[in-house]
Amino acid sequence: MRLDRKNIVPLINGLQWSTAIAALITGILLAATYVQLHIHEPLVNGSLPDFALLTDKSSSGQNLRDEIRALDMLARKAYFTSVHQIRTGTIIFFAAAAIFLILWNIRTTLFPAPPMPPGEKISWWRRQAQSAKAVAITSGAIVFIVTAFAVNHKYQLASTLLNKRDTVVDSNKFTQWWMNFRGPDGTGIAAFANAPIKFDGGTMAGIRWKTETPLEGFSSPVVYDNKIFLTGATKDIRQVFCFDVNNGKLLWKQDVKVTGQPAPKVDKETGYAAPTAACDGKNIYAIFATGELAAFTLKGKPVWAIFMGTPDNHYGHSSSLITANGLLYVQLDEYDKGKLSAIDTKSGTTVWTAPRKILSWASPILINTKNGRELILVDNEYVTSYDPATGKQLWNEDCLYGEAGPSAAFGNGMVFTANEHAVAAGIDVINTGEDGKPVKRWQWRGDLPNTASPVAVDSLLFLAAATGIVTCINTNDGTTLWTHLFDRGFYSSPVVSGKNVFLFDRNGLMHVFAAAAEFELIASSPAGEPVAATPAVLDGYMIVRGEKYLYRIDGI
Amino acid sequence: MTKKFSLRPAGFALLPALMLITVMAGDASASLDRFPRPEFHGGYQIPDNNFGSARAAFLYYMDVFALFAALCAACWVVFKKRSRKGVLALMLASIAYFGFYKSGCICSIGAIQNVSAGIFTGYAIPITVFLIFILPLIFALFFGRVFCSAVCPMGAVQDLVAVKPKKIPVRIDAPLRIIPHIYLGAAILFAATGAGFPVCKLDPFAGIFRLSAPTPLLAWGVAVLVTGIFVARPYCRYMCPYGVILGWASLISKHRVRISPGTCINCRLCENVCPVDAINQPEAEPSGEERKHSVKRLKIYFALIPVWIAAFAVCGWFLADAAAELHPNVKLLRIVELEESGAVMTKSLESEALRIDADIMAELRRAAGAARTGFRWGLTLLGIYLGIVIGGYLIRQSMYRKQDGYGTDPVSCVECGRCYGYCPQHKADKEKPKWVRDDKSC
Repeated sequence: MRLDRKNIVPLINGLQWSTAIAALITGILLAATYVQLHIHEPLVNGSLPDFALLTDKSSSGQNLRDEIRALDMLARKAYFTSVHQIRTGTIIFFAAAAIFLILWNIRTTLFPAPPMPPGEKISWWRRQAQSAKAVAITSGAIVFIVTAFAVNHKYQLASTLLNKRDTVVDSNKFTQWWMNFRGPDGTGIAAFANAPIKFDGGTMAGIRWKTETPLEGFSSPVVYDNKIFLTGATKDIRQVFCFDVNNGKLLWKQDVKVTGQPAPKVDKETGYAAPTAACDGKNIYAIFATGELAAFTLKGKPVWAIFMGTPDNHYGHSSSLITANGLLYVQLDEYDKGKLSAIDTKSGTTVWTAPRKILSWASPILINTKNGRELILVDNEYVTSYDPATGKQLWNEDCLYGEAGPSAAFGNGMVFTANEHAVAAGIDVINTGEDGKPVKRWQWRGDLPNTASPVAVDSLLFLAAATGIVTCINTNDGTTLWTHLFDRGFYSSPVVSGKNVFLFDRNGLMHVFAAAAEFELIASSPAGEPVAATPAVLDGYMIVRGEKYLYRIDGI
Repeated sequence: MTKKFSLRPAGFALLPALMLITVMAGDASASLDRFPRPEFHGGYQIPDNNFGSARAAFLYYMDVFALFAALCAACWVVFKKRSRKGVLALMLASIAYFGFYKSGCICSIGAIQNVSAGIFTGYAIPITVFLIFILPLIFALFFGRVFCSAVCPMGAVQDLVAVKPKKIPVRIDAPLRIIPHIYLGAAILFAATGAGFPVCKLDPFAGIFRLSAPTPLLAWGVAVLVTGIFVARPYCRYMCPYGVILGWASLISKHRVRISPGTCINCRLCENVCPVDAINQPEAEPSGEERKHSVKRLKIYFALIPVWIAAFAVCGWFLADAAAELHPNVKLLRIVELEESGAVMTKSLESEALRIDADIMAELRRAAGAARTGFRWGLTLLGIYLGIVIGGYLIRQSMYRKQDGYGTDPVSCVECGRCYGYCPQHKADKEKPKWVRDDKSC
């Protein structure tokens, strides 16, 4: 039989359409199954992890085990059915696509389309000139881009290795945000020098927006990628909130409920949400006075949640979180069974723990020394350094007394501690003693803070006491440079932006004074309500948590 | 005097040697479990381990024979039969055998890296791999890029999906054709310095032929195929490093694809049919003014060649530090340096293991230093090569080539045979072209 276009082409066309439709339908179903599998992740999500977290031994009977097994079987069945569907669908899709293409090639080979009428002929010389020009320009661009890349790489590498005391890998990406209590490394030093100086909470002048916080709490805001993360809690509810930095709108909120244990008693000036959350660019981590610790993605999807045990702490747990290099550090100081834990940020499993024997309410900070990174914690008696990778105790110094609320500060190669009823101390961690241990250079007595952490910049240390007295100390010798009495005391910690110190008093009046050896008040601006949390200072603005509202202050 | 044995030179050879011994030990050692098996209650029996047997040696020679046979068949259908149908049939056979059966490995394109590693690092390559590398080149010396026409499964897959090929404007096409030269240089450099086989890692079709791949690789393959619907053979034209070498060989090939079996009558019917823009048009001799301009341009390009070479060589020299970071030894040393500097807190397992033995650390530093030196000189040479390629291209573009009829460009033509059916003189001794034959139904 002769191959006739009239007979063959419609047949091939029909088959082509059929295979094209089959490929299209299979492709859509395939994509839907793939998306569904990755969204629901039956082996990770669902009820099974909740069961795994149950610690109530009374319910761990045969029925529970059977239920867990049935759920496990169901989750596996769902997972493997989806995988099987994807595999089969892929084969069908490629087979249909291959048949379509083969038919198309057969048709065009047996019955080639007539050639199109030739268009206007472009002069060979013109073509060649165009291509030569394009190649010349592209080559120049390649040379420029490669050179710029190479120079930039060399510069970045040098700055990482030479300025090792002040830089952390990938820190450029993160230090521009405020990702944990008191910003980068928890030291209270902002990456930007342009924090707003003046505003007025009464007239809203210099305040871009103000939004009500859904739940009470003394925790401070953390900011990353234009998202503000905040925690709030009552005796019955624990929540994590995410707000849009541009308009203050609530983007999401998530409940944290890991255990059925009753909430502990806490002091009303601590509350259930005193610890500040921490962010590592991938997840947000939050802990509450109940000992419940949870991780959420930046979009609010739960990642993991664990119960650290109810903290035995008469005011209530208030130590904030900090993260670095895939580990989340949890300072859980209690009367006699405290611990410092490093939690794997991906899985929520504990990588290491170090015992802590003395109570405190302070938060950990990270410092760089000649020996590498160190994690600095204070308690009611000691300041202690740990190896962040292993949890090994590196050194400690007995320099505190009373009930330690303020965290340590770091600057000019020295660690500083201060606490009401004790002393302020300066410990040199760079020029160590003959035994290689840090040396306490000086100690200072005077009006000391009971909540606000100190902040150090250059050779100056600033202390903000609950009595309203702010003191500036020369870190070289521990002498007083100046003191100033403000009207109200301070719970919020001072932060440094550029050459100024920013400090909110308990009434919500923000004082800005020069970070200098002589006192110079630059401005005082009212927020309009009490402020106890520490502000997050970013590029030209700050996020402030008041008693009831959250503010973005751009300044006048 | 007693000669002391030092383990230092053996430091890095230890792991590969152990792996080799493990592989050679075969089933005996493989049957041992690394960790004790878990014990299950309820009567569950853990099945015994099953290991597939190694591929028989003669099958590798069969691969070489299959390649040789396919190249001969391609020559026959392209030059003797001048049949697009034959090319299409051979393409399907190649996809089936070299693609799906052999899972696309080892292919002549990837063999560039094996040969480079063999030359520069003493990496052992079997004779069959060398033959797979060299056979298409030998054929190219006589018959042009006949390997690309229907033997290469990657080219064949792209050819099949080229449903609506569009002409790429010369302003885009010409710069894109620099990429294969860069890719070729990078492939040789990486293999020669032991940094890895990038051509295999970035092979867009490996996942398709193996019916399994990580999602990014599969997405890359699908992206190339979807692009291939409108831009015929995008990988062959704008990426394939082997195509560069085949292009060089094709320049001196004796037999080349001729659109018309006789003398071209300049009917222009084939002008737009080449999916890879490899048809050269006849050109009238340039006018006096044009010739004057081209001579002037030629002088400038000649003068600029040293500038191009110097610029690219300097670029390569400066890029070396950044590029060397891709080398595993340099990468590992960088991790150790960052940890030692305190810029990174956590310590990796690899660096912890290295710190156990100072000799191995010293060996790592030496190896990383050698890799950096290799990258520095390698990239400088690559820069010089690119300068020559670009300078040569610009000069070539400014020279008039006498051409009377429509013909194929030996470097770009992949000998797919699509143009045959459009030439009125095609198979003049047999029959008319089919579109003419069926003109009643058109």
